[in-house]
Amino acid sequence: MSRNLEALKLYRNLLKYSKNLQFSDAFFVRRRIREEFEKNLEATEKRAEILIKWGQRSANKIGVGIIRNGEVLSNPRSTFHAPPGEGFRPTETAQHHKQQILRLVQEAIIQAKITNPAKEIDGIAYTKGPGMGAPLQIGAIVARTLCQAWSIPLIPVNHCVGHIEMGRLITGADNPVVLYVSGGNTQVISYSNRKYRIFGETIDIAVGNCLDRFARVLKLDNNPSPGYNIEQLAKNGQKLFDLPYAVKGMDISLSGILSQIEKNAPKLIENGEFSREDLCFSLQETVFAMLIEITERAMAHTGSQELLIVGGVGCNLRLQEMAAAMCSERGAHLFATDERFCIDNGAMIARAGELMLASGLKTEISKSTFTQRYRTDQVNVIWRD
Amino acid sequence: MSSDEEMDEGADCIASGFANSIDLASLKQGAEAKLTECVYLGRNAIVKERFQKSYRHPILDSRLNKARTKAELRGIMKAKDLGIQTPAIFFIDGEKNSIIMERIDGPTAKLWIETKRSEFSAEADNNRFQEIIRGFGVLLGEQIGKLHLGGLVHGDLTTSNILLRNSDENLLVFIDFGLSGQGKVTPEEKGVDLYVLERAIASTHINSEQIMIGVLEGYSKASQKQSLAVGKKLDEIRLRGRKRDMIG
Amino acid sequence: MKNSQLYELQPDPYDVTQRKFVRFCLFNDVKNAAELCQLLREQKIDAALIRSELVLEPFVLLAAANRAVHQSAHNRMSCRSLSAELIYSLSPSRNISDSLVTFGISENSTSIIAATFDDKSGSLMKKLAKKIKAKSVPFENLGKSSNVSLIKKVYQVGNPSFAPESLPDHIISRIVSKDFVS
Repeated sequence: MSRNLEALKLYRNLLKYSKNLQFSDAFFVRRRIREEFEKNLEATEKRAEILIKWGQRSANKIGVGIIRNGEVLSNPRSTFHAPPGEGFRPTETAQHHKQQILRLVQEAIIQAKITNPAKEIDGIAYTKGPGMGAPLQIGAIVARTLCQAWSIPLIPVNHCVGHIEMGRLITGADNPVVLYVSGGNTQVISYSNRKYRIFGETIDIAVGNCLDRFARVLKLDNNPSPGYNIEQLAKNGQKLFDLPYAVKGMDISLSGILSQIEKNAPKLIENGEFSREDLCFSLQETVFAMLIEITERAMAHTGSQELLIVGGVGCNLRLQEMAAAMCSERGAHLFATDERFCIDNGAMIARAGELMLASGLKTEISKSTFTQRYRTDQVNVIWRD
Repeated sequence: MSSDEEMDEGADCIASGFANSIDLASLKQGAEAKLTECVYLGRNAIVKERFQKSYRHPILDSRLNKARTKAELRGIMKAKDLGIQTPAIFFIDGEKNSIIMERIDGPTAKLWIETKRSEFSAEADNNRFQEIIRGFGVLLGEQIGKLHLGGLVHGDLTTSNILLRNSDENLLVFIDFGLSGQGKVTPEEKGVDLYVLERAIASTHINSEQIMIGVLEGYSKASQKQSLAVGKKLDEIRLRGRKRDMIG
Repeated sequence: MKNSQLYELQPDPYDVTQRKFVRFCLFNDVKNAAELCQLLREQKIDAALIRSELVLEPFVLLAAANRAVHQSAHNRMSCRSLSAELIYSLSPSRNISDSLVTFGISENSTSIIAATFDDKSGSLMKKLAKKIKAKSVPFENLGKSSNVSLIKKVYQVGNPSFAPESLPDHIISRIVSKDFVS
C-alpha cells in the first residue's frame, strides 16, 4: 500500500472521529486536518511493535515526540517568538500552536518511520498542565482526536514530571535531587514515597520569567530565547552590581531582585557605571547562586549525591558550571542535559506517558481535562519504588 | 582541698579539664556551613564555619558569609533575650566566619518525630502518634510566637533546625539563625516564616499535618492579635503558592 | 607560684601550632588596692587585675582570655595591652573605658584576680604577688566571692523569662558576640 493511501486513511479517520468530539474545537481540527492532508505527506519505511506516545507543550513551545522503550524516535518542536521587548501572549501563542501542531504530528510520524499509527502507536500522552490555558487546550484537543482515531489510550501528563522523567532517562541519574528551572517554574524537587516533593521553590516569579523580563528591559531579541541572549551578554560582564539576595529557608524570592535591577538599569547604563553586560552578569550571578544554594540545601537535607538540572534555564552554561562546582565540593554528581532535552519538548511528555501507561495509568476521553495549575507533588508516581 | 605541696606541683602544670580538641571525622557539610564536633576549653562544642563557596562570585560570597554570620549571632542573642533557648556562643572568628558554640545534647525535632512515629507505628497507635505530634506542634508554635512577638523571624524554620535538649519537648533549642531578620518585622515576614516551616514539615514528614495544626494553635497563645494578622498573611502566601503554577 | 593556676590557650582554636599561656591567681583581703591602681596607671604592672566579684567561674575567664589572645594574634586588639584586652573582653559593653572601670580593680577592691600572659614558669606572677598586699588562695575558690545579682545586672540578664540555661553560658555568649551584635 502506498504511503499516500495510508495517510489518506489516517486523515479520514481523524475527520470522522473529530465530529464526535465533546470537548474539542471540532471545526478547527477538521479544517486543519483537511489542509494538512491536501499538502500531502511523505514517508518511506514500515515498522511494527512500537511503544510510542507523543505530547505537546504548554507555553510558547509546542512539540511532538515519539518514543519507544526510552529511545527517542522523533522529537520535532516549534517555538513562538514574540517581537523583541515583548513577552508572548496566550492567544497569539495558541494561534501559533494551532498552525504548527498538525505539521509537527506529521513530522514526528514520518521521522519515526511509522506507517500505521493505529497499530504501531500504543498511546497518546498530552500535557495536562501546568501551563497557559489556551495552548494547553490545543494539545488536549489534538490528543483526544488522535486517540479516538486510532483507538488507543490517552495519558494526561504533568509537565514537570515529564521533565524529570526525560532527564532521568537521558542522563541515567537514579534518584537525583532535581533543579527544575524554566520560564514558568523554579522548583527543587526530590522523590520520596511515590511523590515528587517540592523542597524549595520561588515564592513569587520564576527564574526564567525574571531573566526574560530583564531581557525586555534591555530590549534583547527573543530569538533564540531571551535567556540565551542574557547568557551571551553576561559572558562579557565583570562588575558585580549589588542586588538583594533573597533565600527564605528552602525557598527564594526573585521579584525584589527584578524590580531593583529594572529600576536601576537604565540609569546605570546611561551614566556608564555598569554596562549591559555587567548587569546581565550580576543578575545571573546573584540569581543562580540563590538557586544553587537552595539546591544544595535539599541535597544536604535528603543526603542525595545526585543533581539533575532540567528546564529551559537548565541549558545555561554558567548555571551548569556553578552546579558542577557545588557538586564537586560535596562529592556529588551533576547530571545536566543539553538544549534538545532541557527545553520543553514532546519526547519528555511521551517518556512520562510511556512510564505511566506501563503501570496502567490512562484516562477516559470524557475525563481528559487540562488544568493551568497542576503541582508536581499532586502526581502519584506509582511507576517508581 | 589539696595540700600545699601538691598545689605547688600543680602550679607549673597546665590545668586539666579545659583542653581543646576537635573531631575532624565528625565533619558534616551542610548547605551553608561545615559543622565539626569539638571540645572548647573543656566544653562540648561545635565549630560552624561558613566556608568560601567556589560556585559563588567571591564578592557575593564574602558579603553573604559575613552577613549570615552576623545574622546568626544577632538572632541567637536576640532569641536569648526573648527567653528562647539557643546554643551558647563560645568563640567567634570574624575573618573565617566561624563560630564555636555549645553542642546541644539531644535529637533534632526531625529525628524525634520520626522516632515517635516508629514507636507508635502500630495501626492502633496512630491516634496517639497524632496527639503527640500535635502536642509538640503546640509547644513549638508557642516558642515561634514568642520569637515573632519580640520582632525576630528565624528565616529557616525546619524540623532539623530545632533541637530537643535532653530529648525533652519542653526544652526546644533553636539553631541556624543565619537567615534571621529583626527590627521592623512585618506580618508578611512572619507569615513567610511559618510558611517555610509548613513546607519543610510537608516535605520531611509524611502524614504529619497535625504538627502544623498544633503550631498555629500554640502560635496564637503568644499573642492573639499577632496570630490573627499573621494567619491572614499565611493564607495569602499559601494561595500565591498555588497560583504560581499558572504558567508552565 | 603557689595557688596560681596555669592554662593553655589556642589563639586560633584547633590550630595547634599556636599556643599561648595564661596564669591566674586569686587574691583575697587585698589591702593596697589604691596603690595597685596607681601602679597600673604608671604602667608598672604588666598584668590584668580583675574584680573577682564579677567573675562567675574559670570558664568565663578563659573564654574572655581566648578572645583576647585571638584578637592579639590578628592585630585586632581594641586596647593597648593584652592585659587590658582581657579585662575589656570580660565586658558585655563595647565602651573600652567603661569596661576597664567596671571589670578592672578599683581603689576599694578587696578581692582580685591577677592574670599574667606568657608566664609558664610563674616568675611574672611571683614578682607581681610581691606588690599585692593580700592573701593568695587556691584558684578553686573563684566564684565564692562573686556577686551574682551584680553580675546579672552588669550582663543585663534581668529578663524574668530568661531561658533556663546556665548563667555562665549566657555571659560568655554576650562577651564574645559583642562586636557583632551591637
